[in-house]
Amino acid sequence: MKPYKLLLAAGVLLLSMFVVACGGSDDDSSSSSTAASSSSTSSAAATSSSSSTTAEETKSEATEAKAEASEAASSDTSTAAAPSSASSAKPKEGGVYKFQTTSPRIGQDPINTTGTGYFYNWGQGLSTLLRYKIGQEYAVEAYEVQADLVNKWEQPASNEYIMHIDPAAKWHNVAPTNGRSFTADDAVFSIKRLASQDSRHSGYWMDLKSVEKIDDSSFKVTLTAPAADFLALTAFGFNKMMAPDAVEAGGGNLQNGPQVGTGEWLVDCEVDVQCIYKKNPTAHLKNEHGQTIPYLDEMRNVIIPDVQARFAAFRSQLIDQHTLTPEQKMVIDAKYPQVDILKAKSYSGRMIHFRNDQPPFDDKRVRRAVSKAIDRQEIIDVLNDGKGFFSYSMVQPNENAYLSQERFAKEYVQDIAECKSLLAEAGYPDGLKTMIWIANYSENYVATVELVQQQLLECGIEVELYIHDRATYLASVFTRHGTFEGMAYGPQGTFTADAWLNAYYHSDGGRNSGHVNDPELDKMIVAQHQELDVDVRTKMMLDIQEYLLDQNYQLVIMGAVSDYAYWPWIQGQAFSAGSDYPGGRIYQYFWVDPDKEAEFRK
Amino acid sequence: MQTYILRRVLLMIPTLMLVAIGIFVLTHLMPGDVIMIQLEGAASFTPEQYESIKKELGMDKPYIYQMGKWLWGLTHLDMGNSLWNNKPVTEEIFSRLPTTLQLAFMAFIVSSVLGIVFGVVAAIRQDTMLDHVTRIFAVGGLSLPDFWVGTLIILLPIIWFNWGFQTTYADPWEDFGRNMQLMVPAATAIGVRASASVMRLTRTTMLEVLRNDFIRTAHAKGLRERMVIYRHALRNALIPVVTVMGTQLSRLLGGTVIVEMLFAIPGVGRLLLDSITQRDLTQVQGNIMVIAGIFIMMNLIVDISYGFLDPRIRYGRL
Repeated sequence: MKPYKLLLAAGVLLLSMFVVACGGSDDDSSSSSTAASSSSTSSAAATSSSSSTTAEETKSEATEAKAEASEAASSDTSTAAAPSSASSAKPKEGGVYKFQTTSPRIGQDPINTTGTGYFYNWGQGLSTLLRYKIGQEYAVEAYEVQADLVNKWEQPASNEYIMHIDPAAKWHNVAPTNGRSFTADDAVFSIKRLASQDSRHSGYWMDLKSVEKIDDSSFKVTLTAPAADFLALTAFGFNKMMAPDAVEAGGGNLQNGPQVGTGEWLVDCEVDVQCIYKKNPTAHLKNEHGQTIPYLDEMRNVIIPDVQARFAAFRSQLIDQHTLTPEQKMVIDAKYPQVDILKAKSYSGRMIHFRNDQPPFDDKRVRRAVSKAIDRQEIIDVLNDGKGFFSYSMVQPNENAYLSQERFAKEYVQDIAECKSLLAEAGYPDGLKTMIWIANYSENYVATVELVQQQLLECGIEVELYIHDRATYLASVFTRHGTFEGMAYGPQGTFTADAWLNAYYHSDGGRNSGHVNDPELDKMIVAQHQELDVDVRTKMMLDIQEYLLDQNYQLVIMGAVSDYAYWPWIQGQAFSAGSDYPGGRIYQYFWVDPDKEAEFRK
Repeated sequence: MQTYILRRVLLMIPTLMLVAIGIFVLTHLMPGDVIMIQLEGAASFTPEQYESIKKELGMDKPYIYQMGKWLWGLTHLDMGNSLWNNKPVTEEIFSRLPTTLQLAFMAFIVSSVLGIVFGVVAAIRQDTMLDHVTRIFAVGGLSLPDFWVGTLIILLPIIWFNWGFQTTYADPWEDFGRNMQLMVPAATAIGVRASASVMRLTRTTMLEVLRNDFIRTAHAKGLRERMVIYRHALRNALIPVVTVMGTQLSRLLGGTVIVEMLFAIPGVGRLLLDSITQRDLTQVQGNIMVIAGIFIMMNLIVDISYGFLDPRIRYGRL
């Protein structure tokens, strides 16, 4: 064959491959859209139950399992009992777990960042004084604390805590700590550093009055006033313990290391490429079977910024876990039946913020009109595969402190007639024009606002969309007093209810972007903050949520339910929700089933 | 020639200074703020805390002072420290530059080989099916963005063979095989697009040269077709192509930005995109400055190369 004919043949082949590729791709998307429409049709009938079913199932599982693990819920002491795996089987030790994150350019000093990037990577080498209970048998709707570096605590006064350090807790056996014990001096140093002006986490320590060493293994924390969520905040993933000698070796900070901690992993990161985590041989936590946590020998975190590349890596088994988009879920359902899919509720709620200090949204009736014009169930069905629930972004102190889904659903029924009547009452009988600022965090965010835009138009509210990148959005919507105009829509952080209320709704709140200034609400927030009686506080939390529903300073749109796909050899997966934020701690309970790996790995 | 080169090099200094001022002004016009991103997950923060971080990062000083500091630093190759991770900007750039240069160079090879081969074939088989196919390829290449070609390169093996490319970058000196597994598809994604313009130009100039008298003479002398094409026609046809390819090399550096993101390659392009997202202005300034410097250098090299490639060109006064 002559060379040019060969070239021609190659060209034709390339062209046909291209056409087939486009066909293959179309095939996927067409099956997606077909399934999506059929799913929305079928889920339309079951919508109101579908979202609440997830929540109810989760609750009932959690409640049953909690009864078996009640001793861990002691209020003044805790043992280091780790949650069982999802299947209650005894975990097998060893194995490697591979996952991915998108984390760009992570530094090494925990006080300099609040991004999940650091905490999924370098942060895995560090640990906290207390930790949350994580696992399917625990309620994902509440922060329940258990021991970590501190294995016992007392509360001699309402604003005082005496904490006792686990004698088995040690720093990594690398310079400069060289495996020495974790001491009260280390805890005092770390708390002071976390609460300092330079720390991005000082907001969590706003109640701190003093922290003093009692002896090498205990220290005393004094708060300015009682703080009901103090222990929960102590366990929050941002509040990592740092070695004073490491900070000194780093020249006063940890930006360039040395990387040393008390955590379950010895971490080595190649920035923007991957992190490798080796099991810490001196890790001090053990589970109910006496096995040291973590169960895995090693983890590998590959940094893959692109969503398609991530999904391709999962499909080719280069990584073991992937968070699915609705379209990707359909591909997995159709082609990879062996993949385990875990549904997890995200408390990073999606909310509409109002400029409550400016017309027209300084009028409660207008805010309520907007709420009545929105069909949230349509948003859940059309854009979120029928999965979603209603909740303020806050993680409540206990399961009973949440308003029921039924209460939200009753309030959040779309009612265009009521919307129009409220607008007319407020002086806008012909409707109004306003704008909404959004962050292009994902296609879903923009699509949601476009749908909201259409829904509001039915009531005569004409909305102009202002789409910004994340940095611009944060600077205008995230500030102490927002500079956006009209409305804004974006994600919210996952915090304890107390931190969330203080940040967003208190008139002095650090994230009061909506300029809420309501003395009545301020009083309620302060009262629940200091209330240590669980039942009384639960009632207060319910009252606050009812009050927020009435005032509509911010509108709940929905809480998302994500699909996490795992290859079947990965065991021990559990909901991460708020209790794992800012991420990664849940992997300490993962384990690899070698039989399933042999069966399913290509 | 030496005077010409000297003058061009001296002219680079005010050009780079103007570029530096432009970069500073434009980056500081961007809305958004690195501190707000660092505080994104914070439960709460006070105005005092915000001001304290601003001071710590040197952002509390007047813009004119910050610009003066940036320009003064440039005179002795100090671009300051990153606002994101406090590392020296030059250290961040130069640790990643070899990766980007490797990718750009490989993409250059892909574009040159594909462009010249297809361009020559299309010219010597003008108006045949082969010519039409290669022209479709060229128009397709010009129309398809790098990221789309890259996405196809990632997805097609998965859809067809349930096989995916390696996702972890490795230094070529440490693991050459793994490095190539990632760099070859990435370079192809950039190179295919760039090859289209090379191919079209090669075809046009080849057709022009093939109609010259000296080609007819070569044929009349009884030289073999291959000898006429490669020794006489191609050499002359390549003069404008080489200059275009030279300027294209600097454009390929720009093409790496998206493709590095797509293929998870830790290069300067990805660093630039991440820095923009993080509003790490000092890092953005440094990255653009280095890319601008490379661009200006490449243009100078291309201009100088004219004289070597075409003896008819003589350099006079500027």
